[in-house]
Amino acid sequence: MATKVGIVILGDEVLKGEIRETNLAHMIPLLAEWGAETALCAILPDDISVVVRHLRRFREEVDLIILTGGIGPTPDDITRDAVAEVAGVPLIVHPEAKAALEARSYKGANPEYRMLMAQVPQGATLIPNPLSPAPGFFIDRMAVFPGVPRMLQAMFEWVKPMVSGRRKSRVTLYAMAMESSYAGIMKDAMTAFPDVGIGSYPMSDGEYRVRVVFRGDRFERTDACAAAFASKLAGIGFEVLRRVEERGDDA
Amino acid sequence: MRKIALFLLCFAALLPSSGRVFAAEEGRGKWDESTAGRWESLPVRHVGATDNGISIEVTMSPGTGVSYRRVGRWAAGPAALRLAADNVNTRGNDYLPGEATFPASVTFVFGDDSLKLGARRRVGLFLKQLWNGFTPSGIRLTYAWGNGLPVGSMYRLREEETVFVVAGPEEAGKTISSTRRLGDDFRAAYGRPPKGPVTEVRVSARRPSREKGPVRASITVRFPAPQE
Repeated sequence: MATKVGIVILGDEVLKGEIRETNLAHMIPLLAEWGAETALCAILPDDISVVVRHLRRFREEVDLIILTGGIGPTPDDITRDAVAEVAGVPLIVHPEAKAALEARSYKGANPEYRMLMAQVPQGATLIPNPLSPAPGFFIDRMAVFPGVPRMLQAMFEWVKPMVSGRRKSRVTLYAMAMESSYAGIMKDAMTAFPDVGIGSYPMSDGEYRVRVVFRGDRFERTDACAAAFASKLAGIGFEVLRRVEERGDDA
Repeated sequence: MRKIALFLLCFAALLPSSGRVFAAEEGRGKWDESTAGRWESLPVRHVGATDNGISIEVTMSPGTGVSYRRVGRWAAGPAALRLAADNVNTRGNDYLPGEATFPASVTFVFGDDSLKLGARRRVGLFLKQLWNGFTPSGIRLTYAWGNGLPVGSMYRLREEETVFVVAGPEEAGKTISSTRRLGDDFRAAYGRPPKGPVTEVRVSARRPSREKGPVRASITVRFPAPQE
């Protein structure tokens, strides 16, 4: 079971700003919902040596790496090669994937290159793709998905049984205060509640000027920290205008 | 023409409110309970009323809804709202009066205040309400759990009803608390202070039949909000 997860987005098109990355916004909230902590995210180029180097380091820091993109049939799709190298196994043609690809043919498709999508690192488990015969795969704490958002979203539930953890509690306060006005109060709260993480985020538009987020394993402590902060904030003349409460698994 | 008018009047007399009204029961205090829409059934619910408010918890399957209403006269001061819903109503357009059905909403009615709409518009509204259910007369501020508009949006649902989106799909499963200053919100919506007090508070939870699956929601209102 994985509690700390890393996400790696592969593709020059994302790094060069040619397409907007949207998969992170889908994956991170789901992982949090399932109780896993997203410990790192990276966007890497279509360069095997760079990807291999980073995957090796990331594997030391997290329990599971989720990779998206780079498993198509063109030469710039290098994810399967990189993952195989990190896992220390050769690529093989998976009979199930091959059969699925052969069962559905497309006019104009080149069978030789198309069959590259049936190649997975030896010993890998296939991740079914309900929208296409080209699957994802899992091997050695690395789960590989297509980068196409619709496919990723259709397949991503596959990860759910692999991740575990306690979903944290979170209390978010919205106010019109300036960040500098409560920096001292925030520091005090961090000292008084070392088990609660606090983040302050300015908002440039909308009804509020700032958002202060309190995150903790225990709802009771998170709530108490937010209440203490709100009380002191009121003491300097700023009230909390909106409060959003998300109870974790302990509550 | 006179026969049609007579028929409509008789029909309207048979449908005095937006939904079926049920007798007061213990727990609801001075709040009247009814279905939220004319064609809905009541959901599974728990209610607790206090001197200055009400808390409800509902589990709504499609085609159910409930509304609690209390009349009185209160100054347009602060109102403390606490809303939670584990899903939104996705299949309606929150901009359209006939489709805007919120899983959780609170409406404050300024019954002594109204807009000059003209006789033709009033008759048109009356005829629409024959089918959709009657809304309280007067200007209304509704704080709602929307389905798509950004949180913080304010829009005119009907000429005399302004909706403030306090939560949306991203808040599903969360609990939202806020204190609203009704006088300020009224001024933001209509460009002037209200002409009279709040005459009715209405707490509603709805899950239209076009939706799939149940929704759990809870609403707590304290009005006037306790001074801290």
